[in-house]
Amino acid sequence: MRSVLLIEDDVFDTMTAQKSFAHFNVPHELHTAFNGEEALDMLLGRQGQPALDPLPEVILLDLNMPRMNGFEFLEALRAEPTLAHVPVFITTTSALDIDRAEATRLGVSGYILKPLDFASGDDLADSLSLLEQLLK
Amino acid sequence: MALRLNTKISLGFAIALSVLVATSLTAYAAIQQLSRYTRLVEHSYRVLQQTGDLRISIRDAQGGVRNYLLLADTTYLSSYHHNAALMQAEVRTLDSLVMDDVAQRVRTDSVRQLMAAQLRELALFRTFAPTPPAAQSLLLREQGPLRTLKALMLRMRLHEDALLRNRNRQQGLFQQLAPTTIVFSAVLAVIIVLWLFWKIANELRANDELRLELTRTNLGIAQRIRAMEHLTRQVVQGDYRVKIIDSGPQHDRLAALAFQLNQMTQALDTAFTALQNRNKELDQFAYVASHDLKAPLRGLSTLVRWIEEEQAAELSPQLRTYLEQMKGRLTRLDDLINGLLAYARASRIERHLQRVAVTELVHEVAELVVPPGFTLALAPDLPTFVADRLSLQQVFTNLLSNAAKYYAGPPGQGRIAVSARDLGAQFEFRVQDNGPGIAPEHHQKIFFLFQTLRDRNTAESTGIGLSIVKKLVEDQQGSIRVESAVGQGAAFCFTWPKGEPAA
Repeated sequence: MRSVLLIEDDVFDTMTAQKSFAHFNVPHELHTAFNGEEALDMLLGRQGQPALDPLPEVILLDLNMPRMNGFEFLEALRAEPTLAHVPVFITTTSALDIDRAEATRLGVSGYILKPLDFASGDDLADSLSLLEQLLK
Repeated sequence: MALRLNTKISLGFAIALSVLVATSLTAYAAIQQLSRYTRLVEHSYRVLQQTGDLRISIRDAQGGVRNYLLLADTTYLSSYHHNAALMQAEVRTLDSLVMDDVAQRVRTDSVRQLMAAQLRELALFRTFAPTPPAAQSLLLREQGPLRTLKALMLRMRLHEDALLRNRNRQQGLFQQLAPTTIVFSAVLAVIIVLWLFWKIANELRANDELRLELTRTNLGIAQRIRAMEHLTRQVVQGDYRVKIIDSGPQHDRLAALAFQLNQMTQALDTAFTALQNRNKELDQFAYVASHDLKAPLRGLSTLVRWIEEEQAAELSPQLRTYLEQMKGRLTRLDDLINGLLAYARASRIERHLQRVAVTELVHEVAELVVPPGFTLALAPDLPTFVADRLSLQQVFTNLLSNAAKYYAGPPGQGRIAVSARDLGAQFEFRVQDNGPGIAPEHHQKIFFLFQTLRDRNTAESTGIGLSIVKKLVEDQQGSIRVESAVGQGAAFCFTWPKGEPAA
């Protein structure tokens, strides 16, 4: 089953994403993790749960989360040889908050403004369409 | 000397004049003395002459009688008579000549007595028979008196000679004194006059230098004032970093003014920088507000929508009504936040002046906010001028969108007319619509923040548009007013200044 991993701490944003996926008939299953730690657990099969298999095609990462912030997760992700290839999209409420240099260094594939609404057009349209293509 | 120029000149001339007068007087006196002594010399000569003549006369008289006695020729008697008369006349003359000299007078008296005696004797002898012994006797007899007379004469001559010498000396003295005095005084006068000229020339030269100095100072001052004018012109055009470097060396009022001007531009610069910082803060605030305020707002709207979409079956009509009310208020909140942001952004002062073709601008705006079906009537003489394009655009946007929004007549008959009037330093623009119009008692209120004349919760307007327009217009030192009555449409008239092209 094709899947997408959403790492998001706000319940509302998670619900929005779920409803969006449903509304646009995205064929992927949406896994959710509350934070980076949990995400790594799910990806690597830690804490007594099996690893996601197959690995998600896309990771949607919220940058400002408690405990492990987005960049720390990215570093950890890129450090894992088995996970390093997974494309990551950053979701954020504000286009100005992104440390682009750092994100580029860590190989982020794009930025998406929240709420995750595929119908919205904004100046991150390239990322969105890229995501859309990936999710077809 | 500390005297003024006029006093110096007057004094100089007075001195020169008095020298000349003194010279004249001295010369006059000298000449007077000269002529006096000349007269005295002449006098002495005459005395001497008289004594000489007298001696000759006496001798001739004697000779006459003697010769008569000797030769018995009466023709010689005429000589005697003649000389006898002469003698008397000469003695009288001599008498009058020596009246001023006592010594000589005494001698003259003696001479007169002698002469009188001689004459008596001669008269006596004339009566004698003319024989040689008589002549001899006469000769012998007269030797004594003659000798006395001769001695007397001699003494008189000597005395007179002495006098003459003295008088000659005096005469010579004055003869030299007169020209010397004249020359000396003339030279003195010339010197004084030259000195005067030199003094005057100096004063004139000093005056010229002073005038030159003054001109130079004036030029210096004009230059410094020009620098200040340049500074103020720069400031007017928005450059607050300009400074004056005052070229004057002295610490005078202009230098103080230059210093103050520099301080002023410094203060302006500081204030302007503070303002810019405030604007930056405002931008940040606006950004924060737009995102952080609106995020939960969006969440609320979305949740309401989800309820409506997913729980539709379980919604009672009452619940639906409540949800409608919630949606209305959420929308209003969103609009208010947007309106506030727009108002806040409108208070930024940065002006970008550029040439604006109003016709073009209005068309652009209309394209965005005026729906098709509206007639846009633009006056043919809408100007092209230098102005802050963004602000003017915002004003027209708000006014035109209002006109379109509030139009309540039959579709397709909405009409917006834009015209302009040249007021010299500014233009007056007029946006006229055929909407429902505004009652006169509301004409002031509509420009207030959040003021709307319709039901708040149904109108699309937040009531901010016109307050933004008013703010933008007044930021340009312009004014805005509305001409309208119920049922007669509304005309918004605002003034906009003509800008100077940026330097």
